[in-house]
Amino acid sequence: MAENIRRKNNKYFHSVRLKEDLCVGCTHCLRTCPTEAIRVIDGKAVISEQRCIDCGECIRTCPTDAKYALTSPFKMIENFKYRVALPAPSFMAQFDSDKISLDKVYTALNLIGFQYIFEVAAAAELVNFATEQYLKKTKKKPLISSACPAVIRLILTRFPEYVDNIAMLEPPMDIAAKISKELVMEKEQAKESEVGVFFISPCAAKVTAVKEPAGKEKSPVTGVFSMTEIYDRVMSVLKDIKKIKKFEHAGKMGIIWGVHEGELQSAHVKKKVAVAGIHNVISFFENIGLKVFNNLDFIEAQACIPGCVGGVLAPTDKFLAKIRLKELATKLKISQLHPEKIIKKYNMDFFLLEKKPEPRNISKLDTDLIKAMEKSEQIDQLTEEFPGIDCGICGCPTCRALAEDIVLEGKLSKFDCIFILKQKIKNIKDELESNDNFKKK
Amino acid sequence: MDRKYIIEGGNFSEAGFASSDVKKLLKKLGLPTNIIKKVAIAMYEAEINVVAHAYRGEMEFKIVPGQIRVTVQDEGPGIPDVELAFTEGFSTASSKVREMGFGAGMGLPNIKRNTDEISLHTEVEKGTKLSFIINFT
Repeated sequence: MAENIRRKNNKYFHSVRLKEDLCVGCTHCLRTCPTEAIRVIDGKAVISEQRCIDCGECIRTCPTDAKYALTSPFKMIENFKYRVALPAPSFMAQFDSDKISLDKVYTALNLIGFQYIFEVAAAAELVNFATEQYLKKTKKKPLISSACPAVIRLILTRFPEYVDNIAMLEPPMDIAAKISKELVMEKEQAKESEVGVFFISPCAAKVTAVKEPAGKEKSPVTGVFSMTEIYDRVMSVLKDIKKIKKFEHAGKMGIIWGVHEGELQSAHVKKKVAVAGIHNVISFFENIGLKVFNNLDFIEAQACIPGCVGGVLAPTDKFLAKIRLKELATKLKISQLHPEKIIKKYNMDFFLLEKKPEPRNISKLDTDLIKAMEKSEQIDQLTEEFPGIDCGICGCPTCRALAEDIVLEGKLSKFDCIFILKQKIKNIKDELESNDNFKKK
Repeated sequence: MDRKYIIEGGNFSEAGFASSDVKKLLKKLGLPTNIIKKVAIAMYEAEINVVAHAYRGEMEFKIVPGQIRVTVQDEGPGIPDVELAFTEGFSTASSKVREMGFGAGMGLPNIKRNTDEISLHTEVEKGTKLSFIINFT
């Protein structure tokens, strides 16, 4: 099946996959891919391992549902005696709280197999506190939030110059996994292998962040489920609920992480900015002058609009979800977690990434400068020859991308451009006709 | 390899185009990040100088192994006191320009700090030619 399709050079794991039989070879994903990672080859969309950042834009845009995010199979929970659900803040906005209370949703989570529920929003509150400490100590400004894995991978592939600005802080999902696992092990006197912690994800990038974490060897998260799948499972057992249980909930400053500008609210620094939407993040990083950039203290950057509620795996309309989450946040109190105590218990190291995420230099044309310059000039010249309308018929997202593929990969030729080919055919035809005319004379 | 850019006096919104274009090119050529940063800062300051003070200008960028050379030639008022212009905090920028957050008197000093060689020829009421070199290994 599609899940077994391995792509060429499996150096990196990717959750974004293609069901080949459904792909019609159209050019929708080509154009929307922010890292130009897709090429249509022999009528099928092929994703480049090196370039893909698992942002999910192609899943969003694919008209035939050929693109999908590979998540963990739900039956995976059966392998664990104790099962913890880690709902993302965005999950809390998927239900209309007037009709289905959060406690009812969590009771349903119990019913479908999770004995424990640990809100990632609660961990987000702790990360707020850790960020505060981090901002006081670090000399490297601005600090870029490490929460969105698609943005982190974007920086690693396209903006390696900003790698040092990424906060060396564990994202809330990882903190939630570490703490909840410890709590359950303590409470149940269980072995680590008996406890499974499962993230309910709004996006594909979080799957990748668990399978192949940046900044550490192994993720503390056991599996990642699609929010849409869990939503469906919750909805189907609601009718079976006899008594709604009471649950403790995270505070407003954690829940609000699920939307654009949510994390920003807790960064108590003067110069801060929040950017949402992967294309917006790219244009922000590309066009912001170093002077303005260096003057900033904190950057929240999220791949989805309007924040995580806009992730491709979240079933509810993103703008509706955004309003719901904001309303929920106003109803909830400030945290009752006492983060300062928890931070004292675990100390700051608990919140830090093990190692600096490593850049993947994909934009380099050649390791040798002279050769790189030659290639750059060849690419410029070829690009000039093409019509510049980025039609995608050659299978590349732009005319420049075709020129780059020709020069760097050598697999395509300029006659893969339909316009160049047409011109060539016309030239041949003209030549033949003039030969005929010559004979007739 | 070279690139040429036209800079229009007073066009603040376009200022920075040349430096970010060159930044993209240098990333593709695989230059070290610290060199790219130096070039970007120096070029940006030079662009702003033309936009803030002159009527129009031309910027030429050239890269050869080991060296990046940039020349900016403008038609403008020129610089009456070059030594003063290289003093941190000194600026002749108009209040209008300052209101926009420019004209802090850090332009030329900042270019000097980020480059290995710098030369400036100026003629009052005619224009200024600024050249700088950044070496790399």
